Amino acid sequence: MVLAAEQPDIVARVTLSALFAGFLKAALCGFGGALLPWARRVIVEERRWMSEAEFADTLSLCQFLPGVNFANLAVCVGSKFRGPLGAVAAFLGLTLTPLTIAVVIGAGYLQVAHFAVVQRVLGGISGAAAGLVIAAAFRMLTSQYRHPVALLFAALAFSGIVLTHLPLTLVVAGLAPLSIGASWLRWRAR
Amino acid sequence: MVKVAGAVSDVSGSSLTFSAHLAGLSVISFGGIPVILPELHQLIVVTHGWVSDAEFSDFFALSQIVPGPNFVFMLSLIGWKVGGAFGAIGAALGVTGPPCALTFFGFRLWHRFMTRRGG
Repeated sequence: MVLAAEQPDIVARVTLSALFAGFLKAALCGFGGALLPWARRVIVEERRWMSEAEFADTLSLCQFLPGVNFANLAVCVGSKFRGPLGAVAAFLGLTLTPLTIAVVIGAGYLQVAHFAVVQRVLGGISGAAAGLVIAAAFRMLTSQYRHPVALLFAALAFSGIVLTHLPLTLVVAGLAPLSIGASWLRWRAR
Repeated sequence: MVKVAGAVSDVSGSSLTFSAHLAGLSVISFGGIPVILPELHQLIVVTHGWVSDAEFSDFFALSQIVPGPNFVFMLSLIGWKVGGAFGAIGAALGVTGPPCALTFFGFRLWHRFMTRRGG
């Protein structure tokens, strides 16, 4: 790809195992929502695989696309240096070891799930995590407060799902083209 | 499809159903997996009864204390309950596969566009 011509020294350095190891490190260090700062630290600061601006651009592409943002990020960084195999190596680095840990913890959970104390601890954690999801949604909503059209579509989506219990697929399929059309019209009118 | 007799076909059939549903929902998860969480609850707990209500929130909590991309793990844990290791891997691939494929091709297009513009 393009970068190969620009910086051959970096490309030679970023082997499949380096991609695997880099994303493994980010995954293992990134506890509880700290994945983003660790991914940035590994990719931008430690290994210098991307510049600050390039990382920010790539991340916003990954956040814009559906799915697990960090899996998408692993695919971008991996494929940038080593094509499809690089994408697979980075993806496996991100998921394989933590997934093994998750399965071990999950097996342990099945042994102790009936203890009241375990139930309380897990109840506390899921309450806190649900709170974080709500806080993130609220932050996204308040960042749009200058855009009444965006707020209107947020309200429509919310009432479609919560009040009328329509399937999410239907709500997205119905509202996404309309909201894209609305912002296109606004852009044209400018 | 070839029909295999016995309990094994039930379990692997459920695993396939689960990861096919995940693959479908993953494509509309703009903003991340929390967006499709209510839909997942409906699918997993209400429609299919693969795990109980309490287990669903326990798996949510458990995945939060594991390092790495949490929601992949939450769905893998549920996949494990649905169909063992096959179910867990199927869930992880189902929920990440389609968006990662989109990203792979999207990133190439985007990269080409950016370099052509000279930026």
